[in-house]
Amino acid sequence: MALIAALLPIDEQRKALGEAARGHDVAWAEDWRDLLRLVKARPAVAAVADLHAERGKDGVLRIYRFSQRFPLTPILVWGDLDGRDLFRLGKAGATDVVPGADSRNRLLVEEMVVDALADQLADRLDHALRSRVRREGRTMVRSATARITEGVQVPDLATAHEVSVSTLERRCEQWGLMTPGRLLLWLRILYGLQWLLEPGRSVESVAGQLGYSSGAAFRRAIKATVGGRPTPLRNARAFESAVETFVAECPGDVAIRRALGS
Amino acid sequence: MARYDRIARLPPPAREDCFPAWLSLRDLQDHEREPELGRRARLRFLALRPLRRLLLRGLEGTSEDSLRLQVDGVRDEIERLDERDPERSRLIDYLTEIGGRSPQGLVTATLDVGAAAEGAGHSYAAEEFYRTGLELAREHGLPSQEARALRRLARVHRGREEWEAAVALGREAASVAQRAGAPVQWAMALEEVARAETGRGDRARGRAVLDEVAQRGRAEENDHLLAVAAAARCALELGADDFDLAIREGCRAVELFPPTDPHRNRALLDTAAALRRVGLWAAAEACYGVVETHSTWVEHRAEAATERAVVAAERGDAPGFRRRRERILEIVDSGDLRLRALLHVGLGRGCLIAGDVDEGREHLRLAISSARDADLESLLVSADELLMALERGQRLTSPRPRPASPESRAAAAALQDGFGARVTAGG
Repeated sequence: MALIAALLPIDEQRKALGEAARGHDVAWAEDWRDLLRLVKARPAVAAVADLHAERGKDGVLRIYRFSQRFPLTPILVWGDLDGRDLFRLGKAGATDVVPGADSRNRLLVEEMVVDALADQLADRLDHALRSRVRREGRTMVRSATARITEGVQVPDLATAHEVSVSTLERRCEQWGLMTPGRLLLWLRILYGLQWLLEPGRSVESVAGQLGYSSGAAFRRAIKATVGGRPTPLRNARAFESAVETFVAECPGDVAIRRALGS
Repeated sequence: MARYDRIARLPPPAREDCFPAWLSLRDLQDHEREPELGRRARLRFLALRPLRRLLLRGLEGTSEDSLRLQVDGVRDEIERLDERDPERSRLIDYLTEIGGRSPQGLVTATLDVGAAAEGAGHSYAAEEFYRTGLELAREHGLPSQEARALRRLARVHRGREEWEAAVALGREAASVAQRAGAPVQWAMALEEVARAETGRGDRARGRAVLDEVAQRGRAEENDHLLAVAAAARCALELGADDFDLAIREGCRAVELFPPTDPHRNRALLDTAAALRRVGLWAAAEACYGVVETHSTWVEHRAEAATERAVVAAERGDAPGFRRRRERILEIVDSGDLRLRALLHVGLGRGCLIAGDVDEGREHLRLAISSARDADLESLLVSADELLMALERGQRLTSPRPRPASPESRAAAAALQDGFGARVTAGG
């Protein structure tokens, strides 16, 4: 279940998004400023906004500011959009647009929401683990990434897989993964580091979103996994290196490694 | 105002960094407050979206109902366009093809809409349609269509003076056509390469590329390849002011192309332009007459009619020019801005030569307005220059023709005889 931050003042729009994003949470913003605040304060993975949400305000400029602060968070723009709006929205960095009539096409909006919610980090980890971890293990990683913003813990994972915590630990070993506790720690760190690549997010807010008691606690967790130098915060290269370290730390399935001759 | 300027100042993003089909809106750069252009750009964008989604998600990932709703929504808006609008029918055909989901038909229709946008001077919209057609052709393994899309993309880049890209795309088109076993497509792709090489100032390389086409045409005894090479060489030599050579190559192309081939008309227009420069007006008028009568392309017919009228002015036959101008004005009410700009520039020039200053000024103003609306830089510059000359009180004279070589005279006579023979043979 993902969280979508939305600024849609018209009831019909809210209803349409609610239906298209069934199964996900929507946090409603009051105005443009509130939308920025929401995304900063809560783990929203996508945003939706009506370009004409506030009378007298240049919505395209607000979208531009949003995309500058949250370049990795997709933003879908709704509304009656003329050619000039569409042209300017492209320059401003909108992820996609839902012009006029399309917003009444529930299937299309549903597809667009699904596209916007695509978790690229999860896809990337799945791809990187393909040569080391068997399918069941990767499915488990997927289920953990899908719930990372909900503060998922090891017992929750075990329950979701209908096994006990000790069985889950044994299975992780068989699949070539690290222990479930270590896995969740790593995933929190990787998602946190990724969010921090966006200038609009602060260490404190990201730490809070991931369930840490403070920014300092989050920093300590980073140091314990990724290391402290060079600082991995707001550092794209260090984030790439953290992903590689995570993959390397997974012991790997013996059978897969044998098959690959390593 | 300050807020507006903030976005306007941003550089246009690269196609891959923007939402699907945004490139089709890029013609609005520096023209974003023009309502007609904005409306047209939006319609093209909306028309492209269902196809872009099909490409992104594949047939399996796209709901048929959703696709139908999208297509119907755009169709309703497009049907509100003026029925004389040249893009209207192409867009409707294209939307019908999306509903039908036949890859071959869909690629053709997509490229056709691109050509209409290109004709209107909207090169980014054309590029987006061509790129979409290209992706679709690749997705469905249609190499001949792929080569066609690549060649048109090369032409778009050439039009924007992006020579490197034009040459690279033209070469790629040639190599795809070669693999597909389509020699005419291959020759036309290399013709595009030659034009780009010439455009960037390397005529020698342009000639070498055309020689390659001619060589293959001779080796395979393929008249069509020889015709393509000769027609392109005619245009190249015309630009190089070697009119005798242009006439020789042009006459050869006219002889080799089948009479129904639209490229033959382009060769006739270029040959006529070269004939005028050496004072062989009667032959030039005969060429224009053939195009005016037989071409199925309105652009070719309009250019031929206008230039034929201007030839009368150049020959000092002002009443003849005025008669022809009147006839052209009856057909000038076209929704195609490029065509209007082209006609008015030509007629404006003719009026200035004939000494009809007021009419000339009116034509040039109309040309400037159409060229500006359609963002046709070269026509705009021509019209501006002519208007400036007029306002400075300069009398425009026809360019003094160079003496024609005996070979050019003979080629022109043979060409005219050929037209006569064909007309007689045709009844």
